Amino acid sequence: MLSARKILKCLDEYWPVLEALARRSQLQSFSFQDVQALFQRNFAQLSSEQIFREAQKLLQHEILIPQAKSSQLELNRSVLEFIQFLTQEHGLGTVGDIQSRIDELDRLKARLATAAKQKDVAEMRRFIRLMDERVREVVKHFRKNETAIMHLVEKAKADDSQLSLQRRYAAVMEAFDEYIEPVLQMIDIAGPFQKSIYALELTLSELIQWIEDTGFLTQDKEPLIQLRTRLLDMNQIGRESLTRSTDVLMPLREEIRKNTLISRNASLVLATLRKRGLEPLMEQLVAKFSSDHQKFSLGSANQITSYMAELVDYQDENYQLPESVDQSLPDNIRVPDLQDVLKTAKQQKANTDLSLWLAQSYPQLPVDELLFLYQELSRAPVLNLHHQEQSSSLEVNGYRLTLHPFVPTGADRN
Amino acid sequence: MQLELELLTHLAEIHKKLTTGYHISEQDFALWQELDAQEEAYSALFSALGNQLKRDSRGYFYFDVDDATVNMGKISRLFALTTYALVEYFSDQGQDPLRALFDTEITHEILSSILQQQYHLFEQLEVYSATDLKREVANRMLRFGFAKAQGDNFKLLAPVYRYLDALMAVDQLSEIEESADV
Repeated sequence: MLSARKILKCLDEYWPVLEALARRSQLQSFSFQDVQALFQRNFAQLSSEQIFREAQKLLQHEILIPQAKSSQLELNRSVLEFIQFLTQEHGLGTVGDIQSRIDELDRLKARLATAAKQKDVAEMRRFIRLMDERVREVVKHFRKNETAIMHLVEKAKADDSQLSLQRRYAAVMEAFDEYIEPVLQMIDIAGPFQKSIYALELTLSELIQWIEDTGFLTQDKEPLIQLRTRLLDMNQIGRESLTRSTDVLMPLREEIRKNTLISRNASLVLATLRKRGLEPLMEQLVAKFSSDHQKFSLGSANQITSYMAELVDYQDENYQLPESVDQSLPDNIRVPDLQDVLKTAKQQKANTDLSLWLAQSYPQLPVDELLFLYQELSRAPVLNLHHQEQSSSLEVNGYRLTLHPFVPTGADRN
Repeated sequence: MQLELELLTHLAEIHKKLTTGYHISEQDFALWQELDAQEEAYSALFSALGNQLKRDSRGYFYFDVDDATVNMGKISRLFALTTYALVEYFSDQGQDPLRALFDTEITHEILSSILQQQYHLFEQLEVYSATDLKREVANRMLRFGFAKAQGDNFKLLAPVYRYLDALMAVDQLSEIEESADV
């Protein structure tokens, strides 16, 4: 039994192996030994016993299934399609795929009209859903075929074999004759595709108009509008996809394309970039420029973004705070009260300069306390101090201060 | 080696251009001629300063560096992509890509058709329109000496060979990769 989650897990775990198998299954089947060899190459760290077990697991989950009456294996069709969808390596579909859907749409249109006439709501909803599904399928086919054609063209361009042009472009020619030409005819203005689309759009528009006029079935108006939009969209997508496909096929078909070594390489590189993303191939291709001035300039937005991305993983080293040192003053040093100091200063009528007097009177006091006192005292109106002209310097608790000392007014005159 | 600084008359200008990533090719006639004549002296002087002066036989000088800044990496990616898209475009036109690359004036129309062809790739480098392409690539190519302006259009110059050489070198790598896959 297929178990969705197990298959997804297998896809994730063994992607390199399965991708290689998907590429290979376009050509031929493979044996169990081949699968083991692939495991060996991609997961070199596994022992042979483990490899056997892993390969066995793929069989158990029915990702690999044995071919009829043979020991050869093939990828489960659904898994293969899924992988091809993921790697965008579709095979080219046929016009029939699209044509049959359009026919189906025609048929459903008639049924929808009947159901609307009979006011059969349930049937109408069912048909709308079915038509919606068909339209989506057509769009899917257009997209799929476009990537398939791109793939064909890339292969033809990058092919360096010495075959004749005819041989080399055989697949391209075939794609053109079997797909592009018929589809072009089909979606031609006078072609059946356009007629069907036009008729369908008309029916849908009438239905919407009718709903708007009568107010009947109002809640079904939305899906109808959706369907009409999707239908018109499909038409557009089909045309655009075809134009793009023709654009890439034309130069090859007309044999005007120059296939020199350099253009071959350019095609190869562009195709690889398209499939696998810009990195890591781009890394080998870019020339490096000197950019000395940039190294010293502020970063651009990109650099800042990458810097911020790095910050996400930033781990702060636990910062060790230093042991707190007991800063409190020894008990025997009492910070003198400002009022007391003011009083003492006034009583003593200090006639030397203020800083010197403070330093001598309170030799034990910390500098910050001293400065505070100095500032307060210098402003105190009772002491009536002013700056002296010449500066003097003094040393307090190992700090050397140079200042214009405050002295009592009139002191220097004495 | 004795350097006669008086002989290196364009030293300041040459140094400034090279350090900012400019490629001096034959169209910068005065600078190119001086570098050509005094190559040894310049080379010695620059290598003493920690820069490696490289000369390519196809006619251009540049500083060879190992580490480019993030921003330069992106610019260079855009140059590479544009160059390869142009090669593809010209070969699809039936022209000899190598000759067309240097002979054709790159117009707005050409830019918009390569953008259309390789939209998925340009999109990844945040280029969404031909105008973006002109601003991000053409103008910068002028600034780094990869192209010269011709009215509103521009023409590629010899330094583009740096990308073409890389393209030829990648060939063997990808073939090895491909054969390893099977």
